[in-house]
Amino acid sequence: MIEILSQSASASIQDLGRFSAVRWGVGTAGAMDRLALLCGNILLGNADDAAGIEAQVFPFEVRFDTDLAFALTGADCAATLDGLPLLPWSSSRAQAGQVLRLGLPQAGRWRGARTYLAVAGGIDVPVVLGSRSTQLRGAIGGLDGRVLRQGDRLPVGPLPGTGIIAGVMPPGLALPLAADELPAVRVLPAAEHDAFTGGSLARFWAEPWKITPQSDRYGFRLAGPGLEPKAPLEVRSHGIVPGVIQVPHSGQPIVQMCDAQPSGGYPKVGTVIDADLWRLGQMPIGTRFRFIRVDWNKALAAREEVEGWLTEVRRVTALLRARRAA
Amino acid sequence: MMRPDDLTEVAAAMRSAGVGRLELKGPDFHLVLACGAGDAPVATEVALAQPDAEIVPVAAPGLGTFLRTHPLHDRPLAGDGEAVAAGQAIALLRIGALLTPVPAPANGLIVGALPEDGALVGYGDRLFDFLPQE
Repeated sequence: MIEILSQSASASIQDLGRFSAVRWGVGTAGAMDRLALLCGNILLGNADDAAGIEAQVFPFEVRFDTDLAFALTGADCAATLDGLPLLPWSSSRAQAGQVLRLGLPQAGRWRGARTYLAVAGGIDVPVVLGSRSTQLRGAIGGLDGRVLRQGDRLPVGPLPGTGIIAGVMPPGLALPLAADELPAVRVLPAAEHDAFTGGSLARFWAEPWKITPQSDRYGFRLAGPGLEPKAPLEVRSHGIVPGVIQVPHSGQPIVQMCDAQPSGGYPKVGTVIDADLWRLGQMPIGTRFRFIRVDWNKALAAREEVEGWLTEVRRVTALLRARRAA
Repeated sequence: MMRPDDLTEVAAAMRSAGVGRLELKGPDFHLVLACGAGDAPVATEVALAQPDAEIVPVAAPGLGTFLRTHPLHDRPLAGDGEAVAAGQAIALLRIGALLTPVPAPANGLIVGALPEDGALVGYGDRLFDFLPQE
């Protein structure tokens, strides 16, 4: 078991997401940075879809009730175990009674907004509609469908026994992406892209966008040059996925994120590609970033690049495990 | 016999001469002075060890690229002259996408690193001179 010590955490249990129930109107939820959670699970020898804790308000503290290996990935938040510093993007061993503290996210060479705590065996809450992710809108999954509170005690699954104590190169450094020295995400034009004026589209693709404080796991509201439709646009409510960039009447776009509802009626100018959702999910409020226009083939190539990198992480992890077992 | 006040002078002399590390050993003392590179101020960490303390090597636990600084950070995990706790990561060996920690063998002081930062090292290579302390 691990116990939540922080008073107001707004941390939640997440896995890679709930993709089997979208057709029934159930949003995907899942980690905002799936790559980070996955890296933690790989180091620990967990199944890819083992659940961890996504922390987004700091400091955040938990106590381990048993000896347990764990991994911290995502935002580097100067974590300590009983006061001793831990490395970011690394697995470690805790002894029963030790307290893990996540401090404030560090600026450093890559700044993230969310930290993932994965534990050997995974957080063992019931699987609901194919996932352990907390779905706040429907109040399902995770622990009673809600964010974690002080005093919550979380069960841990059977230990995989195949983990290693090591670190991963942060993907923000291993797979950098920038445009004019600003962080960037790649975008596929969406159905209503051409319904906006050429001038406003040119600015959309060429100028920075800022993540406003009205941004959370549901969606990121952006501030920037604004988009203007050629003519008033009315679109019937239709299915949408995380990454879709909607344009409400204000012209200031909203990127739907992991807790987005699966339908919406605003026109869509584009979709952040799946391979780059983790980049956006880690950008702190106030970040200025750029959109890079790509086509379908480039979006697939980006996915292959991420998959290739994960394959390398798995390969070296297996190599080290074999060497230590020898 | 050298007095603590003399250390400032010795450190200044080391800096002007470009000496990065000075080690003095006597029957009842063991002194290690280290200073940072470039324009950084002279480090004043000073080791007054037990008379029988010996500098020991820290060997590479495996193969990899020797990194004294985590890729996300600007400061080394453990600088020359710095006191560290047993088991604390004092360097990393990068193997592809992974970073394996090099743990401190005991509580003690980092005297200095032998390989250049970023050098490829092999299993058993001497990475650090280390001064164990009580």
